[in-house]
Amino acid sequence: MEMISNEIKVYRAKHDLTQEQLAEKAGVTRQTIIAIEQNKYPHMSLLLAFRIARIFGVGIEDVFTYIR
Amino acid sequence: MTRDSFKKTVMAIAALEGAVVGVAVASRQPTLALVTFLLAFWLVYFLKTRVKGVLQDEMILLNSGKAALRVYHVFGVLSTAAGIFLLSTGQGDPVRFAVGMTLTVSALCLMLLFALFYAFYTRKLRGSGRWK
Repeated sequence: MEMISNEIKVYRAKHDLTQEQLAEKAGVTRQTIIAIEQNKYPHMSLLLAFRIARIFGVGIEDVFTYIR
Repeated sequence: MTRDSFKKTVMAIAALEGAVVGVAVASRQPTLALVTFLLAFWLVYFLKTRVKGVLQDEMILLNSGKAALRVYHVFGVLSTAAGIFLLSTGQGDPVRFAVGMTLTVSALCLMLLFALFYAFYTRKLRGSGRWK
């Protein structure tokens, strides 16, 4: 089964960001951030993935991992 | 205005609109019903522009698309089936015939609109074609 795991929660804690703050910076709703963190929204756009990685100042593969 | 207060305001407007339109229809005042509907529509549109923060994002759009497709399937199939049944059994009964025709034409309009918008967005995303 394909899936994308992520380290958003870890990076949020490192940057002291709440879900609401991250959502605001990424230009999405808090519900979307919650869904991504819980791996319930695997159809997220590449643009959003890059945006989130950019907010944390790291590469996309540091935040998201493709698992098969 | 925040997203939550916008949602609450829209619900209040919808309830008020429903009540006024209901009274207007019951008392046979089509102008009042139409004006109320248009006013509420404009008010919601206006309030939407005043919302601070994100009101709609890619996940909401994806879910809306899925829901719209389900509505298309359910309404399209059910109303076409009911319309065909009423049309074929309603010969000589003007009411059955009218209801059957309304359902069938509604389903047809829905399918046509869906096909048009689908073609529009497919061409738009492809990046070429008449609607680029």
